[in-house]
Amino acid sequence: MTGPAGAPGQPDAAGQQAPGANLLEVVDIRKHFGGVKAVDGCSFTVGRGQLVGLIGPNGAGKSTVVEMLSGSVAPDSGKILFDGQEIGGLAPHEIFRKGIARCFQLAKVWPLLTVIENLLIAAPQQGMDTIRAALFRRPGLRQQDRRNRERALAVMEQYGLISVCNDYAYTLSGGQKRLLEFARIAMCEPQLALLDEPMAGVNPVLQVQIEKGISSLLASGATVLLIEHNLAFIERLCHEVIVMVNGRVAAIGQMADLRQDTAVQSAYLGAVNV
Amino acid sequence: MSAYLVSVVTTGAITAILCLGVNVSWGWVGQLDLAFYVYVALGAYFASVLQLPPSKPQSGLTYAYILGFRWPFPLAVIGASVAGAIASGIVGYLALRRIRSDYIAIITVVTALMASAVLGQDSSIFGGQIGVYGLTQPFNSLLKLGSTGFSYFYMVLMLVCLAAVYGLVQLLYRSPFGRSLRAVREQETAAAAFGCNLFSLRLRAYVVGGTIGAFGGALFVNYLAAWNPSSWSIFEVVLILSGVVVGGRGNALGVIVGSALVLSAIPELTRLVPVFGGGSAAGPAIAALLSSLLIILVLRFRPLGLIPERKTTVPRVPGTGNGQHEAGHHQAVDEADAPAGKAERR
Repeated sequence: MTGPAGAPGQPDAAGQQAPGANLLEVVDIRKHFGGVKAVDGCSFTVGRGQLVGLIGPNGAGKSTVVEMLSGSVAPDSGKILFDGQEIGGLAPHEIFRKGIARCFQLAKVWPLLTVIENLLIAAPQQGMDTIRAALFRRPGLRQQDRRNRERALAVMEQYGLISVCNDYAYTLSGGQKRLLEFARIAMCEPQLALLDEPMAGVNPVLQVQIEKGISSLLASGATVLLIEHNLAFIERLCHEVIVMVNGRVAAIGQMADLRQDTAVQSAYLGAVNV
Repeated sequence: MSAYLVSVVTTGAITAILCLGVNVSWGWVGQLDLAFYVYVALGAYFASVLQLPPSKPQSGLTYAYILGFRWPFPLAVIGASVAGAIASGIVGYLALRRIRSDYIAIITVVTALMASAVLGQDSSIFGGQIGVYGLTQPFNSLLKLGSTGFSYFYMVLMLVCLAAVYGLVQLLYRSPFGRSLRAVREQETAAAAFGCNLFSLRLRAYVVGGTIGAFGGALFVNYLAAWNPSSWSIFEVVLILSGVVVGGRGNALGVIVGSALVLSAIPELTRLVPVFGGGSAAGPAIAALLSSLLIILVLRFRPLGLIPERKTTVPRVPGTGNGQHEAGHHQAVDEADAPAGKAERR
């Protein structure tokens, strides 16, 4: 697991990447499922430390893009460059270790693990999850384990989950599970967080907490790619918005400008009450 | 304690070790391993041929076995466990490349049938249908115990081995390794997305299970003093899986209890059933019926087993009751995410 990049607008600790340089570059990726062209030549970039929205009508290919970025689905063609390295087709765990974490459209927690265990899975393992480490616990690993627990406690405190830290994750409400997903992402301190409709089915109070969570991720230096249908939320938070239609990028820009774009209006905005 | 009870406890301890082995890959990770008894058999065969002297050609018989190293009991058990690890590593590598559990079941059942056919028919590896025999009582050349004394000694040795295996699996279960395995079992897509190498974790769990199986087989053959194809079949693994289901998948203590019930108590108690109807098979038949009934009742009323998997609480977490409150106290539960047994109980 890679540590966080520098805070937005600031050079990172190593000072190797200029602030604002592209962290993610997607070049002409395609994914067809039989005759269905889910993603059909999609290209865009995401700047380091930015919050970029990915919007579009249902079936536009947004979630498939996230699946490809996270390694759950391999692209048929095209390139995905993360921090200058090709990651297209890598396994999900390899992509995670490069610094990309995600939340799912439907919250996926580990139901028979406790809340704190859910966070500890996402913590930097550094060789802790081996049989040898289990049998012969070296001092370095014990310290790492302690650090992970302390961090998990801090993250649970931040996300209001401390009171349920030793409860099974399946006992949480739907909203708490969504918060747990956010806490899990915060726990692993990603360079890039992929958020697939985090507001879906969430009550207004929890929406505020999730918005704080996203802000917190950005403040920690993460870059965020956000799929969301709540356009007011997108407009309020996102630095840039990508509109996808029929598996391709239809437009990129500020939300205020996109509202004036007739192509975007006819493909997406005209169909929803904004 | 009568010789009969000593025998029941000894075999009970060995079968509990086998159940703990299959619980690692099935209970912790959820992969159905129908080849498990192959590793038990390999452990038994390898322990035998490592302890026995070289086989001698006999006139008119094509009977032979490999190795024949005259190793002492402890070395032979270690060697047999390594053989089980290697065999399960090879099978696991082939079976687990694809993650679907039905694929694993198919590969492992084919492995079991192939191993049974090859080792049963080829009389030059482990003596074919005759098998291996002639093992001496471990350590008894030093201890010089009588028959009864040795039975007690071996029973205690098996209980010590069971305690050691229990301690080992508990150590693994509570470690980050065990936690990752459970995450893979619970939701593998999320586990992969958060850094769990599914293939590597599944393979390691499979090898741990296979190694424990071979270890148990090595202990078993030293109790029986002989091993042949009639000692192992795919049905044996079904019995072991039954013990795990009844006890509680994932819970080592539950697995030991389930093993004692299904593999020891029911078969032994039904021996007391008097012969009736002109057949002597009433006891085994009733044992099979009772075992089946017990499994059905457990699946209906306690789907997670008699002693379900327990929460692994994190020590010294302030202000939370430290995991003392039971699951189910939170009213807002998403049915879709609840494990099957829990959802059914509500």
